[in-house]
Amino acid sequence: MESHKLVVRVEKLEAFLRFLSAAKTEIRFSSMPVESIVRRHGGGISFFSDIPDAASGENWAGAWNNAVEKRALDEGFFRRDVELLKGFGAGFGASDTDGQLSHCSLYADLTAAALNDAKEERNRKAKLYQMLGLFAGMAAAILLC
Amino acid sequence: MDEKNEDRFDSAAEGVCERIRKSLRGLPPDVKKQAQEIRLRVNRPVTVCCPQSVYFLKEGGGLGCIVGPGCVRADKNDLEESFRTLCGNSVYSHETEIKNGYVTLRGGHRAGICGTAVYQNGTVSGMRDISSINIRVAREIPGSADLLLNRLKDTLSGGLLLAGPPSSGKTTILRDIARQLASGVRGNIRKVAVVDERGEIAGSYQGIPQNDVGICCDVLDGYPKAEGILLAVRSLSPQYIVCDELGSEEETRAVEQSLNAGVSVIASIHAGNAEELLRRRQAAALLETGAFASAALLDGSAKPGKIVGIYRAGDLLAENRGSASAHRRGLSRGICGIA
Repeated sequence: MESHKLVVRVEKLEAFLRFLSAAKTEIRFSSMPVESIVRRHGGGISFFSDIPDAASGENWAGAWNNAVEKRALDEGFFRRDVELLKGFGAGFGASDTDGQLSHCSLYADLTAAALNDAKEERNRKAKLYQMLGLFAGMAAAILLC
Repeated sequence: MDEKNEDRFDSAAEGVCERIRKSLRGLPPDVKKQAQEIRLRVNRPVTVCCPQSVYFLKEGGGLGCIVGPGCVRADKNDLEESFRTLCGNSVYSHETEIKNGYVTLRGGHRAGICGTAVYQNGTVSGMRDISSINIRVAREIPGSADLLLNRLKDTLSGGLLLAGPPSSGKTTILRDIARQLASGVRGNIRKVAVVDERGEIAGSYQGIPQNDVGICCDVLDGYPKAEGILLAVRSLSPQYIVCDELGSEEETRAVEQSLNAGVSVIASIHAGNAEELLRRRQAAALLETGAFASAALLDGSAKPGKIVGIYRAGDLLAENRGSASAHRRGLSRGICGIA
């Protein structure tokens, strides 16, 4: 179970990294609004579906925060990732093109670092959990014999 | 139509931050139908401009003529939130508009933005510290150009310059002219190209015109007018080109080229009265191109859409040159022409 959580976290961080890369491209070449970027490229991340569209009139940054708070942990992100996601949402769409490209690059770097940690943790702990399972199985077998 | 105008006020109010929007939504339907502008200024009361007067917004949706304790005041955060909402939370996708001091909203409304200019390489590259926002409620009034078109009849094909002060209904009439020509309301369907630099005529949002500009109408959204006119002539083969607020030399040259391509131009220009129109160098230059057979003058914001005079371009130019014959025709009194 714990091993599965580590695997899901890696998948989610990879999906967010892909989203950031797509967002940079859309901002640079088509000036696509954030709402459309999220709709078009946010397929791998479930909490995006909780963010209402601009027509609803809701404060978008606030809606992003709420969606992250509500769904990100259940989805497989860890608490430390939630802060990263909230930080990104606070500045997403709030400045000119250069500002947004820098914003996306900064968060792509931070996400890449978090992804490396997540992969290391997964590799390290996955082996540990495997060994624990093996030993627990052996212990149970000895006891039963 | 009234219900539609009420909806239009609500859709314009969507651009305002949530706190103020609540009070705007609570305004009586009569006010919503008439309101022309919603104005937010930092640390000052929110105002709603109607044709007859300016009112102060009160908490819960009332209006007052004097500033009192119940008035809704916009603070810096309200303006910043409104600015982001106006930009659809994507400031970068409105960079060019912001440089020019406005943002076009869904529904064709236009928000004028004031703040501190940011310079880069000697030119304005952006804006910071937003200090006021003026949302102009776009009105779509089918039939608003009827009177004008009835009086112009066939002269329209010679081109029309629509002059008037701000909020006099120039854009509303231009939109209706485009609709009537492109839908065949008056005879044959005409091919119309709308060069909508500021997105006020068609009010396109994500490529879809929010206002009815007719069946056979092509919209060049966001194009600078000069470039848009030339592009339309080159690639869209229009019979009419409709655009808002002409003025620069580049635009005058583009109008001249469209004339040589056999396209009629219908455009607007700012001018309070005939004398002001004549005093404006750009107006005279436009009339001298020969692209406008007539010029119509609109009344002020108190009576939007009211035509006070229709003039022949030749008469106006003669007046401008101080021709005695023009004086004899009574042009200086502002009553002249084909009406």
